[in-house]
Amino acid sequence: MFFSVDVQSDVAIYLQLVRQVKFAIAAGTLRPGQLLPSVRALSGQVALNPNTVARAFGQLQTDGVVESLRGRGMVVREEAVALCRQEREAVLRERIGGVLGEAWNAGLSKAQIKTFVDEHLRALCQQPPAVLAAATDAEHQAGSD
Amino acid sequence: MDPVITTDALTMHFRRCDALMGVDLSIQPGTVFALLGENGAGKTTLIRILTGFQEPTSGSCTVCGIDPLRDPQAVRRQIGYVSDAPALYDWMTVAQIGGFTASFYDQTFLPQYEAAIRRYDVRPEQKIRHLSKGQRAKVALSLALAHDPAVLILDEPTSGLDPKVRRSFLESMIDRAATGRTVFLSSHQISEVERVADTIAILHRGRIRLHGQLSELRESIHEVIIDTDDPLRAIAPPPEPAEVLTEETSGRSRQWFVRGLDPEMIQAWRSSPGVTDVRTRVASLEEIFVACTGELQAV
Amino acid sequence: MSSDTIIETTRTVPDRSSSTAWFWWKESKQLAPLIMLLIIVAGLILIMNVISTAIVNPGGFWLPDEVVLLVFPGLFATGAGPLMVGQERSLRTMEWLALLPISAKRLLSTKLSVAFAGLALMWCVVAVGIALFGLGNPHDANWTIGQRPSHSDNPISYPIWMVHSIYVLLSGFYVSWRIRHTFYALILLIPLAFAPMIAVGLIAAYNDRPMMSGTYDVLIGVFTLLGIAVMAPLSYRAAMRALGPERAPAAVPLLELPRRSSADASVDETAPRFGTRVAALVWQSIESRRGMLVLLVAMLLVSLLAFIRLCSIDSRLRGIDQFLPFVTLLAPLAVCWLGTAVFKQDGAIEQIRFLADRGITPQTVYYARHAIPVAILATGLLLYAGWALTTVGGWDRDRTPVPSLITVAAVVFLFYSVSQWVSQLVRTLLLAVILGPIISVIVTVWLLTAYTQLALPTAALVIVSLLPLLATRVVMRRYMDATDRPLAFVVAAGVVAAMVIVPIVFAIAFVRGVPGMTAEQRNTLLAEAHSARRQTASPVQLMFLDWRSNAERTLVPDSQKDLIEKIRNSLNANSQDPRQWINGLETLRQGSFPLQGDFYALDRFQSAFVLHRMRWRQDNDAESFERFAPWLDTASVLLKGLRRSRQVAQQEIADRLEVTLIETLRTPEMRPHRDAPAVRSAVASIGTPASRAAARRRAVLASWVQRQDPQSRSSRDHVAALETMPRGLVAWLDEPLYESFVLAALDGIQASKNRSDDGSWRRRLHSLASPKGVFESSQYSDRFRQLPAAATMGENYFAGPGQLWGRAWEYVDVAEFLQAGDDTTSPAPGITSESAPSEPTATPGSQASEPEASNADPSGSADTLSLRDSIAANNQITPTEPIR
Repeated sequence: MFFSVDVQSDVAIYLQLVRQVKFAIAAGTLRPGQLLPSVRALSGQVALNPNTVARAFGQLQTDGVVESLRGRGMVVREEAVALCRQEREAVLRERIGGVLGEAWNAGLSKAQIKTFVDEHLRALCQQPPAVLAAATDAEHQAGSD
Repeated sequence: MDPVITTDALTMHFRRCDALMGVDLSIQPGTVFALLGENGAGKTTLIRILTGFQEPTSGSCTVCGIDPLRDPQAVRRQIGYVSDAPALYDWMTVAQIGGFTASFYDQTFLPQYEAAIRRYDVRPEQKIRHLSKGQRAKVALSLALAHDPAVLILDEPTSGLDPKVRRSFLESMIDRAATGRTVFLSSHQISEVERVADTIAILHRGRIRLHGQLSELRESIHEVIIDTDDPLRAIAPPPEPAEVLTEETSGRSRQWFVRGLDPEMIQAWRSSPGVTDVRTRVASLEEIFVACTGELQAV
Repeated sequence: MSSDTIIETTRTVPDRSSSTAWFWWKESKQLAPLIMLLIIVAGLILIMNVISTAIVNPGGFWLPDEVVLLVFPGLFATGAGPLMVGQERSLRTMEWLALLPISAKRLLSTKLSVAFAGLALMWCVVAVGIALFGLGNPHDANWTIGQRPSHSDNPISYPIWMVHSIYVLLSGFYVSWRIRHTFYALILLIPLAFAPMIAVGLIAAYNDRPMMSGTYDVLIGVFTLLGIAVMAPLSYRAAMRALGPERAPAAVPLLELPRRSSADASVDETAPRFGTRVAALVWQSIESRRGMLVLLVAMLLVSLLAFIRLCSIDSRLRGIDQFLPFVTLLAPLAVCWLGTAVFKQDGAIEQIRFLADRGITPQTVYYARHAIPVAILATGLLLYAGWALTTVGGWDRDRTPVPSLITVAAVVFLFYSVSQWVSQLVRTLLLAVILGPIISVIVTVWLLTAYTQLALPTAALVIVSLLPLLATRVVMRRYMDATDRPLAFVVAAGVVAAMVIVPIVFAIAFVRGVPGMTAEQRNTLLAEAHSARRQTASPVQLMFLDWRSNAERTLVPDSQKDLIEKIRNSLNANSQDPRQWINGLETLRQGSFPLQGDFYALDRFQSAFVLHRMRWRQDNDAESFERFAPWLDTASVLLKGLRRSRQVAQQEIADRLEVTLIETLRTPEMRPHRDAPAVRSAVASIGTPASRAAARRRAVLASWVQRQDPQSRSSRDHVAALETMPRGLVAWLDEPLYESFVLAALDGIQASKNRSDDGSWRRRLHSLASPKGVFESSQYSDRFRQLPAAATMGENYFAGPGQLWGRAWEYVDVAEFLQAGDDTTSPAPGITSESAPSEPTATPGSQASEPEASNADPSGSADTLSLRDSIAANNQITPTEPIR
């Protein structure tokens, strides 16, 4: 998979790596049992300090997303998918909260905000989502009301 | 682990200026150390002292445990050095200069050099005179790395080169770090430094202003913007242990770069009279650099 | 070498010897440009020698081959240090080299070893060259090694030269290690290299006696060895210091000035302001090499002062003044280096490219870079001119000649022009600094030789001198873009070709401009000439027996003799009887031998003849005639003998003798004696225009052919005009000029035989025989030829042959005159005055002759009358009593 790192952003580089790995797992790009590239290879590929990459891997290991396989490297755990999805939801939830907060602090009324939200949702529901892995129908249906 | 490079109160006075005024550094092995500074801050002088080409006015330093003054040859055997605009023999071909250098090292030099040259896509039979700047830099890098030095010292090697060459250099540095060797980088390319450095130091007017792990530094320095109702409103600076690096005012906004910011301080400002808004952001390395080397110094 | 072979070689031999091999390989390749330079220089000198001796014939300029060979080790020793060390330091490759695991000692020793090996090689080349070509002069040996004499007349022997070259090599290394800037290092090298000579010179000056060459040699050797002993450790120390870490400057400021870091510099200083772009460029060209300009100006001034002092000494150089000529040589060197500085100074290329990047036109840059050196040179020339105006130079033995401003300006201009051209062509500073002066000298010598000796016109010289400047201007744009290489060499080849070919072309044109004979003319005439020459029997020399008795040869010095007594003695000195006085008359009379004598002999005979004739005319009786008759007879014999000669000079003598004879016979007093045997033989000896023409023709052609015989004396005869020809072309012009002379003479002979009006031959003879004179006032002019022949005979023959040809005296019929009776008493015209040859004899000249006839003094003789009267006509002097 390919990573893109923004050196200038507030978020630490290793955290960006961690999040992108998690999102990839959540989206299905990285499957359980798949081997991550070695620290050396990955650091060369993304042009980042190996220590940063190592720290990211460490963080992923701590979060239980990957585990170290002797002699082979880091491998994605089975349970990682659910974890990552949860995390992704949390991140998205925070993001939506952030946008809403920004709109509220800018002076928009609740009704206005709601109108914008409904508008967007209506447009989005017309098309199928671009998710790779099969989401549960229940979640999906619940969201289309 | 013993630090691979140490300097102790290194001072260098020239006739017209003072290049270094008491520099203390300590670089751990296996890390990428980046030295930032304006042009003329003394970076090249420091490197010349480390490589044994210049005698300092006072102070001492060691490289791989060897004093460059006493035994410069031993130091140079341990390091690989690439400067900007490296001076190679123009009339030799790439292959010839490789062979020439290889004869002074052991057998592993030449194959590694050949491999590097092939990787960089430089034709061995071309004369160095006819190479482009980027290709010259690559040849110099290959020559410096082929004997697997413990420390790789780079003095602005990619100044004026295209992004592809810079990328090659970056990859080489990362590779060295990944295999546990040390890299000492003196550069202006802040974006590259942000990607590749473990530790950075900022040299300003011969003194070290900032020295520490990059991640820590980035996390510890914030840009604080305070909007007030009145441009002349006085705002109390943050208490110890926070440190204000620079301060700038524009209209009704005030911008501070603060090191060691606490959330309570933000609250304190928010509740200060006349303050309309307080925004904070983690400072980028470039902003840190400008803040450390600006004229309006709090210290 | 391909990378594969490198892998092979280094994998199998991974030890120190291969690194040494590589190191030697690198050092040798770095020396390659120097070797190339030496070969070029030697080649140039040889070419110049060849061209110069081939074209400029005789003489011309050439360097002894020994110098050519000695160039190799000398220049090598000078350039090795700066090239191997100085250039590496200035290019900073020395720093890169120091990064490799090579100890400083090893680096130094390798460089020195390669340099010494190169020097030894040079000396071997020299030895081989000397042995192979047999150079040097074993006969003028000045020194001995053991028992064997040296090989040359060089004041310094070869072994000492070798030692000296080692010393120079070490000094070169020393200055290169000490001084970073190549140019200043070279400047320091000059006095160091000459230090032993200077030391010995000082000793000689102290002794104030010229030194024997053997002692000189030994002393130089001693001082050189001393120099080596001093230089070796010094250069080692300098090398160690240069290769080690740079010392920190120890200066401690007295005042506590605010500490500035190098980042603070430059913004506070005020930038200089310029009105025009050219001003800015000129300022830059000064500031960037201020030290060098100061140095060169100092060299010029010192040299000028030395020259002034040298010219003020008008005796032999003594003491310290013996160094003055060498100090004077600094000036041309400085001029050359000013030229080199135009394109070749530290950072010059970068400066020029910097300007190119900013879009400044090549023209502006060109003028700006030339501005300062030209200004300096112009000032120098002004100073020189100012001083030269106040000095009087001379060509005495002990005085130094002061060349004129034009000469100095021409030489300076040539030096500068060629040096700046070389500096644009050559890539490295060192080679430009060495090659510049050498090529300048060669070109200048060649062009000035061509100008003075090969008839190169001034305009062509000026244009050819401007060519190098033009060449650099043309290449300037490319040079600024660093793409000048192929074009620069093409243009250079063109300039060189022009410099060599233009003088040759002009020389050829000049030689062609002198018309000789066409091939057909030559062929037809040669046949006749050979037959003319073949008829020659060996000549008899006109010799006088000195019959003065011992009594007459007094021991009293002339100044104490009474003047009249002296004159009387000299008048009586010559014998009364020519047959006793002249040797070989009988031989002449019997046989048909040609007579040979020079003008002094003729003059002596003629004065005696005229004296006796005067005596006869005074007495005018039978007895005096009897005394005179032998003289007539002798004169006729001599005349016949002379006419038989095959030399032009003899024919001229014959002409003069014949004029005298005709003048003698054509007087009324001779008529009574017309049947005397002497008179008859005299009349018989006088020829006709045809016979004279034939004799002259034979003589001219035979002389021409005989000239070509290298063994005969007359092969050195040449036409006088040859002396005004450019000296270098003399050998080519000799033959054509003589051929023109032959043609003109033949035309003249023909014209005088036919009595024709055509005077062009006279003009041609005049231009050949006395080219510096004006025709109308020369001996060939109409006005001159109208004077009586006898009056003009005394004029020197050296003004040219043929002065007497075709004048009125030739067409006179003596026999007729003598047979004519008493009714025509007046001497027919032709002797006393000349008329135009085309008119018949009996006319207008008689108008001039009548007053003379009426004024004829019966006791005077016609010849003195004519002479006196013509002088009187000019000077209003009355004739005086003839001398008895």
